[in-house]
Amino acid sequence: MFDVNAFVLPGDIAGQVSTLQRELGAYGFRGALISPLNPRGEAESYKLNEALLAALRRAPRGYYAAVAVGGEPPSLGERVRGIRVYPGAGVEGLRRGAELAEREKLALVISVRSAWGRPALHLGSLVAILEEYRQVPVVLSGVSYHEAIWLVSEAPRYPNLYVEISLFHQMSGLRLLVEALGPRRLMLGTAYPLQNPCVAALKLALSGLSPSILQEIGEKNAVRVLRV
Amino acid sequence: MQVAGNRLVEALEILKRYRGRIIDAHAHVGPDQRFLMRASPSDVARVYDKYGIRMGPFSSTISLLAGAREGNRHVLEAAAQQPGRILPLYALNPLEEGAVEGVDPERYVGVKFHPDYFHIRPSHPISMRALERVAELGLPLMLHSYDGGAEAAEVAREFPELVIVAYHMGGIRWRECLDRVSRYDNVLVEVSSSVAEPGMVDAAVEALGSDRVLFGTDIPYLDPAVSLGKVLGAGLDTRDLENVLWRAAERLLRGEGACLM
Repeated sequence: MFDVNAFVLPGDIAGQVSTLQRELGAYGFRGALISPLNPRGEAESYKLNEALLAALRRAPRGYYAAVAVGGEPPSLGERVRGIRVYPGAGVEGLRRGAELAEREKLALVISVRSAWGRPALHLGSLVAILEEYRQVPVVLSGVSYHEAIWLVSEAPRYPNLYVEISLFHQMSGLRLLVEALGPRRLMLGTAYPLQNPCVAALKLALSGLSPSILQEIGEKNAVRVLRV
Repeated sequence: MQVAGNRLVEALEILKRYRGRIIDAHAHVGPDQRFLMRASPSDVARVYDKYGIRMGPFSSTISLLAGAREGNRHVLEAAAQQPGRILPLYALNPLEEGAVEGVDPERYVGVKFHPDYFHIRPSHPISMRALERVAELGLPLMLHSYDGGAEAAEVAREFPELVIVAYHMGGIRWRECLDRVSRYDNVLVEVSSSVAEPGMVDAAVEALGSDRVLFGTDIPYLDPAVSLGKVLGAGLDTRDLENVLWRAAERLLRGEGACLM
């Protein structure tokens, strides 16, 4: 399995990356796409992005970064697979992230929310980005049941949109998304360390979906889209 | 899946071992079109079969979205379709006329109170008068608690003989909830919520003891895998795990005279 939605927080980044490998590995994850969690301002983004990239240079293969927009280092390096935008970045931040992702040929990872109960990004503001940057794979992360109707009714229109499922918890929710979007547009995430990785692992394992669909969601889509 | 980590394999083995014994302390039957969700009685049976869940106390989504009286009728119908599996809770909205008179321990295994949907706090004098009757009848109170356990603690202090289950364990303010309710022996916590931080269930067991911590799913708002992941990912020993997964709920329901079989 591959986790497309893991985080590090301010502090000992190398230690967190090491813990993350151990905790996720215990549940069968062989790698992760990691971002600094919702950094405050460009200076903090830059510092955390740099520390994360330094830690990843020493990490085993399979662990990559989606750097936080606003503080991206001048050279992104071979361990970067995405540009992460948080709700606080606003429309300007979204556009900046999309431009960078297009230029660097990376995925744009957009967090709808980074913690439960916090203000979410309005999905309507994504539409212009999805239409204008059609070559950029956009991974929508942190969606919950609040976005269920949009995901079913609107999201299928945008072929460059992928959905990460760590916070999509409703009963039989995976089956609903598979029916609406198809299995090739969904990606497994844990939201570790915000969430116990056992939740994501069990949610997928017990979804009742076919083994081939589980493989698509659990890893293959991330390999294909993010080149991990 | 081709490769599963040891902890995932262990979690799946535990589920297999406890199949048919787990009690879901928090569940809903009915539709909620706001989020494209539904849990008909047959959906409930299918999902419970899939996860090995034996039974649970249910309220109807209709009691939250339309009216408590309508929801209470609906949950009885649902319970009749899945006897011994869907145990009906009485949704008590103290603002609805005749609500208190409808509480019937012969037909319901407990009382559900949802401050957000019913638009009244449990500690409001109108609610307290209604809860006094619930305490007299000896039914447990299942209280939606996303407020860090503040209302649960207030009601518990007023009615020490009333058993209160703080649904969602305080929500995002779960640490606050554990701190608040730990001094009230008549308060149990139920672990379902979209908040699934590592260490939550361990902390609850540490603070309250595993006989005061209940597994619950909150279906259809959450898939059972979410709470199962929180509990099975907690690293509890066998005694604590069994308490959380079913023994504490069994005692709660039996202790209040509910018919389980």
